[in-house]
Amino acid sequence: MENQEKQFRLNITRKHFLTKAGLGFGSAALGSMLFKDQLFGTDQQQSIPLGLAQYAPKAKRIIYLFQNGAPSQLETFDYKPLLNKMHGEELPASIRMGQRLTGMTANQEKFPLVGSTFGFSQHGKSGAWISELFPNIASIADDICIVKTMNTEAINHDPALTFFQTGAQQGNRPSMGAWMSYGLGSENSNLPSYTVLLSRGRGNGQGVYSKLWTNGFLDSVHQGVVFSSGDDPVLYLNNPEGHDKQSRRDMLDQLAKFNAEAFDNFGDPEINTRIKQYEMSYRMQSAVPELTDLSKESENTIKMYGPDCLVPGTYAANCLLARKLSESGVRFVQLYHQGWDTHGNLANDMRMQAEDVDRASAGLIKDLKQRGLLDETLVIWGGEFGRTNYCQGKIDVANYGRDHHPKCFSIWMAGGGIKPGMVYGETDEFGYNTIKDPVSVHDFHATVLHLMGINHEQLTYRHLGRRYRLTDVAGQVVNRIIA
Amino acid sequence: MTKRLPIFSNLILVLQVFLGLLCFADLNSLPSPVLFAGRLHPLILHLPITLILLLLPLSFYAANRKEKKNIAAFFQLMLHCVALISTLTAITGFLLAAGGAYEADSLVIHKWLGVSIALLSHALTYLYNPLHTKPMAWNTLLAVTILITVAGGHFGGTLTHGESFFSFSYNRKAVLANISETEKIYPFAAASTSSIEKLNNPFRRVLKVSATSPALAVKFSIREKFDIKLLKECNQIAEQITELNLSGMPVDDQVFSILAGFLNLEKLNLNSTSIAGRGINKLMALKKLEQLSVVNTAVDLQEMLPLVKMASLKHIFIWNTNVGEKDLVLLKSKSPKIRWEMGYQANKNEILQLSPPYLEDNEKLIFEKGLNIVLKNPFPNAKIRYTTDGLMPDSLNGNIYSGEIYTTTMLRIKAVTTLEGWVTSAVSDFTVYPKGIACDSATLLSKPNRGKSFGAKILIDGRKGFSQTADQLYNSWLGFKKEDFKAGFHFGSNPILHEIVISTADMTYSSGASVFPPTKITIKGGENAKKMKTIGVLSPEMPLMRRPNASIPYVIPIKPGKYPYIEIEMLTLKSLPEWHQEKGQKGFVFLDEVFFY
Repeated sequence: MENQEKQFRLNITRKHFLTKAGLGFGSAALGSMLFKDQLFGTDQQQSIPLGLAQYAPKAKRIIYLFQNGAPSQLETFDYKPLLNKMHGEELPASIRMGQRLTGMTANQEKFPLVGSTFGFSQHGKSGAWISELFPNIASIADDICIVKTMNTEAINHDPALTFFQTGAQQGNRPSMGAWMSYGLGSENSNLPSYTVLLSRGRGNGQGVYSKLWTNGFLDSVHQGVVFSSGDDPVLYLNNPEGHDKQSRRDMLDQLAKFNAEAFDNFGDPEINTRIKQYEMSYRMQSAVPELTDLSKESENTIKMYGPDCLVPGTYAANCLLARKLSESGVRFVQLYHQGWDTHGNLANDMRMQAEDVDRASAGLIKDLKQRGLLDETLVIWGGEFGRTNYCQGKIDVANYGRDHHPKCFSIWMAGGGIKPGMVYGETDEFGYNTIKDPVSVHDFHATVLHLMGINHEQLTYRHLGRRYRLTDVAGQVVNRIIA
Repeated sequence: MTKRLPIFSNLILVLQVFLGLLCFADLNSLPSPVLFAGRLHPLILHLPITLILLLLPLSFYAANRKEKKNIAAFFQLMLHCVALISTLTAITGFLLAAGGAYEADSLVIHKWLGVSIALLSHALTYLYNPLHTKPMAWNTLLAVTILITVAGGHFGGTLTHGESFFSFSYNRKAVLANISETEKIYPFAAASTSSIEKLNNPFRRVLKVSATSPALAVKFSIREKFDIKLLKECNQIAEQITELNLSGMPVDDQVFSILAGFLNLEKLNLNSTSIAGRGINKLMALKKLEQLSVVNTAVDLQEMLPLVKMASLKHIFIWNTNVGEKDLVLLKSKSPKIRWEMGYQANKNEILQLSPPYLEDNEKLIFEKGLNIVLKNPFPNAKIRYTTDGLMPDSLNGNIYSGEIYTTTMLRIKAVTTLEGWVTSAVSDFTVYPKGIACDSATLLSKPNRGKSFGAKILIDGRKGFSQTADQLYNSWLGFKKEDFKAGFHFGSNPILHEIVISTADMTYSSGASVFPPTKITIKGGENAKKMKTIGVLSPEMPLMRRPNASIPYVIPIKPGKYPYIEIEMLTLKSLPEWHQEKGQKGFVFLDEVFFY
């Protein structure tokens, strides 16, 4: 038996050898040219330089005020008087055009149009229509660009939110903040380059999950760091009782030695990430208290953001903290304010939600402006989709509901290279379809990356055999909203 | 057919196979020396265009000559040259595209046109026939090749010179202006990467403004770690620094002499530093300085006056300094081109509502023997007024909070924040509970609609549920809607009980929330479930309008005695009131803890 096996192994002829070896060497040579990193292994993931903008950026940092739950465009920035005139009348089929609806209204027998119960007036040089719910945002109309024609592919919260944050609906891709951290690095190595701040309003809420600030397949150092909403925004940052700063330093030095040994033995890059994170946490012990101390805020600041800015965990406090984090060099500060899901009880909920965010959002813009930071900070305000022009549930002039609507909705942006005081895009008079200048989520991402000095087609990361990017295989920069 | 040129032909074939591979390969991963070959593309791309266009007159010439043999040899050689150079041009084009940023749509078209030119020109070498036996095929292929070459050239021009390049409206100046707008051109060279890396540390960040710019932005952080040496060390990159951020660092007026050396500085941030402005005139040496921030410092009019002569200055941020309103008028009159930013001025007539007080430790709501209740008020000068008797406090009524409130019994506190010139806050409402008599076990006798998985044990675990948000509330409370609440409680030690307190939620204020008080609470006690009597009853008041969310305790005095088994029943509201958005529907009852005293 053994001899037979030996004989079989010796059955390789010179021709066999040369054929196999020739093909092998040839493949290796070709492969080394075409797929170098897969053959020999390398850290090089892409051709553009990482850690800095490709070209002169218009914005250096982003503060994204995400209005989680989807605020109604028809009660905020998209004034549609026709809906008031046609209140209670059926949505024409020629307008809906068979649009897919959510399970919440798909079985409704009727789709009665419902006008906004709130008044609208024009503001700023552009004459932007803004609802009476947002007097403070109206006061900064000349600083913001309202995009009325955002549209998305998803009709439910989780996929729509995930799409907005990661460029895909499935939830395994890196979030916008992680891409920024990966592409641009940090301006301040004592703070995470991507932080997340959560708050909750009194309106109907939808959850937010850690997958929204995930690093996906990028290095975990790019993951969003959630600042908790209590008095102690970064948990476990203070030294435990009985440990002073020096003993903490000694412990970290010792730990770093062990980790370095582990890295030498196993070569796992996650170990290096861990070492970096421990060191950053140590430095954050100095950096964070400077930022989160609310005791010295002036009356001007309190009135600018609203009194809630002194209560940790509120939207106003998060806006103030976002300004401080951004000023300190955090690339991407992501806020989520929950409570905008107005399927019913819209009139009450919108009023409460607007009370929470109006003054603080406008205050953030004013504060950035007075510090000379607005030019280099891009502020984005908006939700994951819009709301229907027809009523969900019982129709009542004073109280009604609106379902999810993906075809057009409003967001606004300010600072960071955005053209101030303009309204972009037009929707039809029913507020249902876009008639001019649609902006998809991919376009939005491409534009944001462009403002940060990155070509969205070139910021890529190879994973599972293909290159991924925030804009996937789509996206056009919306040049007309860029200053 | 003339004799073909085998070496030439095979070389073209190999290169075109390689070109085919390039079409589908990921070129970004190629090493930079290989990508460098792409730079040859602009150098050689004009050759195939010229040669292909020349083929047209030459083809006519060759077709009409009698001595075809010599001409055919030359023509065949030329066709091979065209095919070879077209293929090389396409290959270098792929390499160039991999390393550069080009507009995607035009690039894709240009790429495939380039590949087509290479393949068609190679096909021409096979089709050329000096005897012109198939003139139709040759002429067609030649015409197609020429047309595609023209189109390829057009899209190439679009890629490098913009869309309007082939139109009469093309404005070269505008294109150049556009380029300079996105990337500012500086007269100095970039600092070496090693010197930038050497200067970078956790407290001093040196960043290139962009990959293609030599300009540097320097930012310092963590006040306690700052040393003026950190700034002085930047002298080695002084020429390249265009932005400098010293905000919050403990630098004083000595800093101006160092800053005067950073001659290309455009943006300087000295906010919240210790400067008083003496020597700030040294900044006049900075001829490129456009933006200066001195917010929250002690600079005054006299120190700032010389700066108005700086021609480059466009914007000065100067609020919260010793420069007053009148000073500003003078400064503005002397510097009409400078924008002076005096910061946001709140409307003094605007009266806002304060935020309510809150508990320092929201987790400490159940205590063993006694508890110091610490209320927090975020407003430095505001007072907290509170009551413990159920009445509503306001700016005039209620005890003034002066530290801690100590209690050994259950206490429901209602508190407001109040300050002159502000609207008194909404009322905070919280209750603290002594631990009470331990219950051995509890059993649910009806099915909850919320918190089913927690079971009855969370009612006697000595921990309050979360009270901040609706979602969290669902996770740590039991909610009953379809069925009324009913549960049994067992006491092995047979203690004497006097009173039962049920901690419930009241949520009519949040959207869609329909958590109401129970309409009736009935307590039964006895030896076991079969032997018991009613020992306590309470009918809570229903709210007459929406009211703030709160956790409300219901105290039910019971006939004192030993009860090994207690059964509690709470009836849910069967029809929500007119004022509620879900009027007519059933209401919820929520509870998180039951206390026995």
